[in-house]
Amino acid sequence: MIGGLRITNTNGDVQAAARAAARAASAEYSTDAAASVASRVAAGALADRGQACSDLGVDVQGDLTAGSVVVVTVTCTVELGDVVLAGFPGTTTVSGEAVEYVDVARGGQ
Amino acid sequence: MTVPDNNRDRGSVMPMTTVLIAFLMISAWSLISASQQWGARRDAYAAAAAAARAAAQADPASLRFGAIVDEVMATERAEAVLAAAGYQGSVVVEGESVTVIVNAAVEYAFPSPGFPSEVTGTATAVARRGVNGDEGG
Repeated sequence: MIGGLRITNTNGDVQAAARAAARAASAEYSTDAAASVASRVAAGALADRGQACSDLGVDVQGDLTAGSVVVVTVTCTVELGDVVLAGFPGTTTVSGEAVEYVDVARGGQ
Repeated sequence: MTVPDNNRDRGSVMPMTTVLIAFLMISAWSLISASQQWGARRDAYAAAAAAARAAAQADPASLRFGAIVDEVMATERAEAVLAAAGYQGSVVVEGESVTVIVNAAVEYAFPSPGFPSEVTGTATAVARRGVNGDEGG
């Protein structure tokens, strides 16, 4: 029961991190910068919410030209070893995806 | 003088244990189902908010005439975001305000009679000069 609630709670935090990362990524001008800032923002958002992912992955898809769509996927491996019974997996991976639109009118670099 | 019947409670633990386990299982089921429902509601709202933000902006041509939202372009932008997020919804443009309503099916881990099979997320964004805008559900 605690494990199930931990997964659903983590799912909400991962979704929130993905949304924050997507918004940050959509403000960048290059894919490298977008990937970098998305990772940083997602890690910060999860840390702020007290989520410790044993493995954190952030993937940014889409281009950053004005009027495009950016999709950010965050995956977080959650430790369940302290709450599950023997025989059940000790970790599970939770993922969240968020979509953000690159503004039509953008300031110059 | 009567002899105490020490076996009087024999067998009474089992029904209590059964009731307790049933109570815990029902609690877990309702908590998880409620969490999934709220998660779906939150995600639908987030998609609606992203779509509304995308829609409520003026393109460079219309900026020359003020922050005017083009209804057709705004709807296209909102629908592009919803499609990328895997949702469908309706877009209402009123002047510089765009409201997006998203209906999303809820995927429960367990059969959940009594819980809604679909939830709605509504968000509004308003095009303004600068970075100020309203967003709410």
